[in-house]
Amino acid sequence: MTLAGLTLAQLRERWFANTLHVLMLAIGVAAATALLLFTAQTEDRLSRDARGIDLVVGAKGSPLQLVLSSVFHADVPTGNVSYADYERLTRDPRIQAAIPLGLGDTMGGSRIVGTTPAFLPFYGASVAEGRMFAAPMETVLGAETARRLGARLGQTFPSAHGLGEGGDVHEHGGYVVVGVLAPTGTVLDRLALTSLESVWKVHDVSMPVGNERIGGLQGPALRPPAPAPLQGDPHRHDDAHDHGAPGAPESAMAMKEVTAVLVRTRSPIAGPRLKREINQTTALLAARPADEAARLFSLVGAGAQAFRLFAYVFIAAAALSVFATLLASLTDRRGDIALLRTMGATRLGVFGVLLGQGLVIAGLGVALGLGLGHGLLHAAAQVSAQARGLGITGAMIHPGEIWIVIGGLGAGALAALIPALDAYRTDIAKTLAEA
Amino acid sequence: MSTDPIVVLEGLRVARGGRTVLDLPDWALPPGGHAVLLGPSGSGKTTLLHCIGGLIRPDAGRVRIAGRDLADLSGGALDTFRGQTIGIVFQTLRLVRALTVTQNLQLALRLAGKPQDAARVHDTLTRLGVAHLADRRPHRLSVGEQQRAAIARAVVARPALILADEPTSALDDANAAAAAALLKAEAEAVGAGLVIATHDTRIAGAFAHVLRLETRA
Ligand SMILES: Nc1ncnc2c1ncn2[C@@H]1O[C@H](COP(=O)(O)OP(=O)(O)OP(=O)(O)O)[C@@H](O)[C@H]1O
Ligand SMILES: [Mg+2]
Repeated sequence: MTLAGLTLAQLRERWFANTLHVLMLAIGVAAATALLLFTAQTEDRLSRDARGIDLVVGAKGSPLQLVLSSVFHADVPTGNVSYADYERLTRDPRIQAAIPLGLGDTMGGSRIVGTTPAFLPFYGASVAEGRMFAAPMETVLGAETARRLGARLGQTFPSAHGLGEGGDVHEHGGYVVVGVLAPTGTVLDRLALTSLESVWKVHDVSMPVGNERIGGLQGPALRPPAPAPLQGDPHRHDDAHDHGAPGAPESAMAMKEVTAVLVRTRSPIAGPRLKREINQTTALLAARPADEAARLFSLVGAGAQAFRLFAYVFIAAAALSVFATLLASLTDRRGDIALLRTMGATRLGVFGVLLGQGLVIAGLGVALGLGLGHGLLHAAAQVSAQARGLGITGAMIHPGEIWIVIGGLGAGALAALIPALDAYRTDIAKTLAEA
Repeated sequence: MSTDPIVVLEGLRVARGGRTVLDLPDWALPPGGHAVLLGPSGSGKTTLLHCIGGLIRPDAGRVRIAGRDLADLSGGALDTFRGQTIGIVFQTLRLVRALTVTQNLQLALRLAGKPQDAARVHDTLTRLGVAHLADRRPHRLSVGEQQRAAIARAVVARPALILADEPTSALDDANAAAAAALLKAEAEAVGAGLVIATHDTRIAGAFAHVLRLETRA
C-alpha cells in the first residue's frame, strides 16, 4: 500500500460522488471536444471546397447565397445568367478558366451539376472508373454519391426537379451512369456531374418556362437551349427534340442560361478588381468564396461560442463540485492526514494525496470526455448524411485537443489545490489533540 | 545494537500560551527499556510524547532519539526519521477508514521505508489475534479489535521506539492489563523501547521506568 494506493482507496470510499464528478467533467470535455472537431472539420471542408475558385458569377442577389449554392452546393441559387454572359467571361483575358454550372435538379438526393468536361481539371478531380460524360443524359457520379446509390456503370437513375426532397420527378429516360470520380474529400464526392445540355434538355421536357414550382427548396428553372446552340451539335439538338414538349413556343426559349460561373483568374490580384467591375458595370453578381466562407464561419462561430460556453460552464461546475467534496472530506480526514504524518509521510506526501484525488477524477473525466466527444461525432456521421457530407468524422485527432486535456486536468488540479494546501499545512499536534 | 539510550531528554521545557506546561529534569531510557509517564490530567503527558515523537519542538532543551538530536532534523527529514524509528499508538486508534486492516499495516511499512513483507504483516496480525479480520475495514471492528490492529500497525515496521498515549484509559481492569501486556510483549518482540503515557495507575506497576509529571500551577 502506497500513498498513491491510499489516494485511490479514498476516492473509492466516496465512489458515488466521485463518479458524478467524473461524469460531469466528461460531459463538459465531450462538448468541447465535439465542438472543436466539428468546427475544425467544417472550416477545413469549407476552405477545401472553395480552394482555387477566385470568383463566382451569378444572378444578382445575396453573395452568400450565390457561394453557398454554387461552391458548397447548399441553399438554392440566386437566379440564372445568360449563356452569352458566360461566353463573355470566357473571353476576358484576365480569366484563366470559367466553368459554367447548371443547377436545380437532384438524383437520388444528390445534386446534379450540369457543366462542361473542363470542370474536372478545374477541381483537379479525376475519373476513377468508367469515363467522363460525353452525350447528354450521361452522368459521372461523385465517389460518395456512387457509394450511397450503390450505382454501377450503365445503371440509369431518374432525376427530380428542385434541390430539396420530394421534387417532381422528371419524365425522361433518366441519367445513365458512365463514370465514377475518385474521392476528393470535397463536396464533389456528393455530386452528380452531367453536361449542361442534359439539364437544358430535362427542363425542356418537363419544366416549361413559367411553370416553376412554388415551395420546397428549389432554384429557378433553367431555360433550355436555343434552337441553334453555339456549341451544340445537331445530333444533341435533335435528341432534345425527340422528347420535346409539343407546341412549346420555341421563341420563348431562345435564350440559353446557366446558373452560375466558377472563375479562376490568371493572377490573384485580378480577382477583387474583376469582382468590383462585374458588380458595378453589369447586371451580374460576383462573389469571392473566400470572403463568403469567412462570413459564413463567423455566423457559425457565434453559435459555436454559445456551445463552447456551455462546455466551459460544465467543466467549471465539475471542478467546483470536486473542490467542495474534497474540502468536505478533508474535515473528516484531517485525522488521517495527521496520522499519515506521524507514520512518516511528509507534508509534500499528504499534499500529493489530495492533489492526486483531484487529478485522478480529472484524468478519468477527460479520458471519458474525449472518448464521448469523438464517439458523438462518429455517431453523427453514421446517422446524418449531412454531417457525413461535411466530412465530419470522429476518427480524427485535432492538435487543439491537447488544450482540452490541459484545461480539464488543470480544472481538477485547481479544484484540489486549496484542500491539498490545507493538508500540507495541517498542524499534526493540534489535530491529534482535537480528536 | 547500539548501547546509546533510545530516549534522552535534556533540560526540556515547553510553554503554551505564555505558561510553562512542561519543565523536566534530564531523563534517559536505555534501548529496549519500557517506561510509563504518569501524571494527572493536564500534567503534560501528551505534550511530552509529542516532543519525543518530534511532532512539536520544545521551547528549550533537547530530545535525542536513538542518538539523533531531533533539533538537527528539519521538515521532511524529521518526518522520514519518525516513520523509520517510531511507532505510535493513539488513544483514539486512528486506523485509516478507507483501508483494510492489512492495508493499514502495509501503509505503515511503506511510510517507514520498509519493503512490503506479506509474511511480516500476517505474523504481526496473527500474534495480536486479528489475522481473521485482516481484510475488514476498521469501522467493522469492535473497539478491542481496533486496538489490537492499531498496536499491530505501530509495531509492524519494527520501530526502535514505540509511543502510546492513554492506550488503556477507556478499558476495564482486565482489558487494560491485557493491552499493556500486549504492548510490552510486542515491544520486546521487536526489541523496541516503549513509552506509555497514562494517568492509569493500574498498569504502572508493570514498568521498570517511571517518569512522574506534576500538574503545574
Ligand atoms: N495548544 C495549546 N495551547 C495552550 N495550552 C495547551 C495547548 N496544548 C496543551 N496545553 C496545555 O498544556 C497542558 C498539558 O497538556 P497535555 O495535553 O500534555 O496534558 P495531559 O497530561 O496529556 O492530559 P490528559 O491526561 O488530560 O490527556 C494542559 O494544561 C493544557 O491545557
Ligand atoms: Mg493527554
